[in-house]
Amino acid sequence: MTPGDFPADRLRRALHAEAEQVVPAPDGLQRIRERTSAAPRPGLWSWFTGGWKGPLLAGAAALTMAAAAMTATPSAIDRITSAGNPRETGAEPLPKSAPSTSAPAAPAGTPPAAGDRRAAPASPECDSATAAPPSPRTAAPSPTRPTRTAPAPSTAAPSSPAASNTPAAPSPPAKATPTPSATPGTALSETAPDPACPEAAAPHATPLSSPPATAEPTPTRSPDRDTRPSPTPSAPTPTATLTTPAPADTPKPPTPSNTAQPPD
Amino acid sequence: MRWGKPEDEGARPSDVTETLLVAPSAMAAWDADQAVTELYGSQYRPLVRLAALLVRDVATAEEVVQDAFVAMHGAWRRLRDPDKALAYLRQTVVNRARSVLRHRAVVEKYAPKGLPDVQSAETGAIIELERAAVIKALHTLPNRQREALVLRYYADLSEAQIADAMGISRGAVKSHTARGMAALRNVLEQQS
Repeated sequence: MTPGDFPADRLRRALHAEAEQVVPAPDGLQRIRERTSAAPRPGLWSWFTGGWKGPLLAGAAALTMAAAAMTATPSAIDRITSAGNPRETGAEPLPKSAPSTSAPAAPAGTPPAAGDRRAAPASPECDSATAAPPSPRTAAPSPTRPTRTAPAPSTAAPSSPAASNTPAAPSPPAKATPTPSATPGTALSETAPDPACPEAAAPHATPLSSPPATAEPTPTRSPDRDTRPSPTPSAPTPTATLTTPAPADTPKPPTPSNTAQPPD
Repeated sequence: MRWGKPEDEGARPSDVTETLLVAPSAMAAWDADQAVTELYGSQYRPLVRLAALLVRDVATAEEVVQDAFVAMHGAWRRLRDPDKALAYLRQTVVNRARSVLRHRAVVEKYAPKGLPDVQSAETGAIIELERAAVIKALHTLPNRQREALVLRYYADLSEAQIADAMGISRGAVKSHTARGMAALRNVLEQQS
């Protein structure tokens, strides 16, 4: 047989003869068993992520995350805007609520009924607002109380004492001080909504409720419990009124009313 | 035993093709352990021999085949068609044999030379000269050509099966086979 006609049969014979001499060890299966038993078995996770399920699960997870983010966004935005930009948010409602409340309150402030209606819707807000921040209220009210017009009622929401005070409170000189500012006070009250809560609570009490009416808006803004920020925005205008009333408060007898209110 | 071309594999039952081409459809119902047991009984020896022809070392060939069985056991769930388990085993054996030869080439490259070829001396003393010459010439061929020749003339696989096992195209199988045969012929001519 020449190499030129080297046939495939020759190669085949050689290969088979060579292979015939190969005798594998008899413990091959045992070795394989040991290795397969030692190797981690494909469990649920491999089934879970195997083949096309992996990308599918990844897509589903991405959709779930996106949905969660979308649903969570509104509340998160509200919180951010309310906490981060209290002035802006407060500024808008202030003018709106202030004029609305002040307009009817000042003119119709004498008629407690009108004030009541205005205050009625506001009162719940104030209640909720006052409930959370009683300490600041009480602090603010004490000065406003004297004016009777403003803050005292807010905490006084428990106005039952305020009602009893009404006869006494209005009569005191405090009213006199507000009255001069009354005409301007209306304007001021429009701009300064601080006493809002007081109005709602003690609208019945005094004709001076006009300032309190102005105060209402502040609670509406700050209703969130962050009373601090809301008052500050309204503070500029009301501060004047507050400062003026403050002296009136200290001398006034309403102090007892104030003292009475905290217990409420 | 009658020899023939792999194209008439269906008509020619050889011991190798008999065992390698058995692919019972009942494998679909097996679990991994059953598949290993059943395929071991029918395919282990031929696969070890095939690997031995590729890697020229029985112990290494056994390791290669055992690795293939372990891999098949781990991939049994992913084998969508259990009937292709044989092809999977064969392909794994070829791939791992390549890795062994690649590793061996690196080792031999940096190993001190001068070691005698003990196996060739032993085989030369035991087996007939012609067969030894052919096998020796076979191992001088490039890996791909040797794989193609062994898969075709020992395992009696068709071109499609060889292409599947080697991971190449059928045209490449033809090319490797033809070039391998020509190179083998040249080597034998030089030896003679």
